Amino acid sequence: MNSNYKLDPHPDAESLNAFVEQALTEQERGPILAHLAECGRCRQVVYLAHQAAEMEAEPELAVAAAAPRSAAWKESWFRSWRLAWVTAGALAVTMTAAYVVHVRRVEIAAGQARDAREAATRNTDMALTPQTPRLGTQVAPPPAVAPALSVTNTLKQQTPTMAPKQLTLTAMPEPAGEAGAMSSSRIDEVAPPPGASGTGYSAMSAGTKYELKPVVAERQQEEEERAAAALEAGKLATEKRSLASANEPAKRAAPNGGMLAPATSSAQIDADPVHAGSFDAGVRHGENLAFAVSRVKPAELPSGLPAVSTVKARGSSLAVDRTGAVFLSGDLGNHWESVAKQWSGRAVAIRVEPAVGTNESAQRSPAVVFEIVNDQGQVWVSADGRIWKAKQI
Amino acid sequence: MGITPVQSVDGAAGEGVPGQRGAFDGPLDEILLDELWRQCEGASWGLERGEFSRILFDIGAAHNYGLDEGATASRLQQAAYFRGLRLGDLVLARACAAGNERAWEHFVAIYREPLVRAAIAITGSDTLGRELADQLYAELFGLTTRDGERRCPLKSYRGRGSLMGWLRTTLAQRHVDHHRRSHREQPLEELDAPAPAFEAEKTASELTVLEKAVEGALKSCEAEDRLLLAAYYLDGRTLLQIAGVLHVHEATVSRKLKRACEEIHKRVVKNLQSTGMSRRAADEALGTDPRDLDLNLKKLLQYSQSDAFQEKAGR
Repeated sequence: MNSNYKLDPHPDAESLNAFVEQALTEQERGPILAHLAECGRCRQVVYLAHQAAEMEAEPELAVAAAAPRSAAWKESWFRSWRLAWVTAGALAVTMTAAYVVHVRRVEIAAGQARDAREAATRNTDMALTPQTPRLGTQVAPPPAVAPALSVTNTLKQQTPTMAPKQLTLTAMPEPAGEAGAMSSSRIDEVAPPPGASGTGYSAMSAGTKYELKPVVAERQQEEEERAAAALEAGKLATEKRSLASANEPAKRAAPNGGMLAPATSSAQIDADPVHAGSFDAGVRHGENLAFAVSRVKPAELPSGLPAVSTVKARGSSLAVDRTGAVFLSGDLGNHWESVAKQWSGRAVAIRVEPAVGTNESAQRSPAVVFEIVNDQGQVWVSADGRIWKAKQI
Repeated sequence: MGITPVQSVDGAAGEGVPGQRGAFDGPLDEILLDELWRQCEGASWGLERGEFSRILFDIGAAHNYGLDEGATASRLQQAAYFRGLRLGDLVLARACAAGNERAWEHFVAIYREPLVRAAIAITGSDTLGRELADQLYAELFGLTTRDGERRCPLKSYRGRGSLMGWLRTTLAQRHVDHHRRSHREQPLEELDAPAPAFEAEKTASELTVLEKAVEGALKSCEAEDRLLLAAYYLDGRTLLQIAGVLHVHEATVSRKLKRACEEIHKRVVKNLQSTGMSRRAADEALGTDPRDLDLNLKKLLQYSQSDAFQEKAGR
């Protein structure tokens, strides 16, 4: 209490504050309480002090209390709608996500339908139309296969193609009356025997047979002729000569420069950019051409262009696209890497040739070499598909 | 030299003059004093131990260690009383009052901004709040002199509550006093016009019994009930505000208010019956329009506004 009680009938700030802070004993609290019951002034002091203490404890409340009424109204309005904003935002996000998912599903469904239609169309074409030969694909004949298969048809009539992967050569049983009898055999690895360079075999998967019809698009024919001209100008000519004596019709049957089989198979040159990468193999049987087709994974080159020529040997695959870019794959065509250009002109075909050299060098060097033929008929060779040098004729 | 609670304040203060180590006798007092002295860190504000002892004795003797007047405080009660003091705030306030510069720097750093915020909260205005805080700050700094002596209100702080609470209450006192003074300066036309005398006489003659019954019932209420009634019905405080001051739940305040009203009703009926009225007549009398009664409830509730402290002033 005040020391000068007689002058001031009210408790001092010390006592009132002690009352608010409950620092008084019961004996001291009674008189203060009695005074507060009777004194409006001290009650007001106590309430104001308590109010200030509460606002000090919560500064934001003090700021809000001092703010204009309109601001408080806006704040309360915003607070009341805050939950609604959150809900609306969540709803908008959900609807956007649902829309995106729906669009993707529609696109996927459309793509699948398109693929299905294309596949059906392709199968129909394969069944009814001879496949365009592909450049550069060659398969060495197995030693056991006797050169009994004679190629008598023109390219338009046979046009079997070979895929760069999973080349399975199966000699179809020759129908009676055909030139030579062919024993059945399989070649899983493209490893032509010595002396079989420049030759190709019709590869055929175990399965479907198709009758080829001599229908080739005009554009494809132009490609074939161009590729054939390039091959004719190169080393291929010599290889053809080596086959000429044995199988003259086969030479005629490969106007597109395909590798001709020595005697048992025909050369297959894949010059079809549309079906590049697919595995279409066929075996002719004299005049009646039987064609086996198997579809494998197309070569998906980094350039995005279809391969015009592919070859596989010793676990490595090489492919050439339309622009002449060469790509190398070491994992059966799953991943391709570009090969630095070390040749002149535009590569149009790629093939595998047996390595030549002494016995010692042959033992050290790989059994086969890759060859690139450019649009001027010049040939470059490589043992690993990466380093190329001009072939010495 | 020992000091007992029954000694006079003046005499006890004389025992605790600076330089006399130990205002309490016996080893317990010395131990207690050492403990309190270390706790308050008064040496950092330039306060001497003897002066600290004298201050403690003055405070304890002035309030009789929180006991009723005439009771003798034991040493344990004295120790409990001293330990309940805000000794840190106390020595700071006394050092500031003594003009210690470091103490003032610390005070300004700690309490200047909260003082302004509290003043703004009390006045509800930034301008008035800052003006009120500056006025109190100047007063605390001792710019006010009386008889050539520098007067500092911090000398009146005795550590019963927090120093910040004391500052807030002081601000509230200043603000309320200023408001009441300025309220009296309002133009006369804004004051309520007094009721005609003849009507008052007429009403008083008819309703004297009821008025006396109500007056007697209110006077017989307990202090806490009167405080609740006054705060709720006269001041217009909310239950939450009342509960905050009394440190109880607002439901408790509501329950106590209801009980107080019921008690007053019973007492009024009882007072009316004591005048010879029947219970039915008493109930009918309670149905009288309050506007017909010449009752000043504010005056009735605060009839003995200064009695309590006048009584204490005389002790």
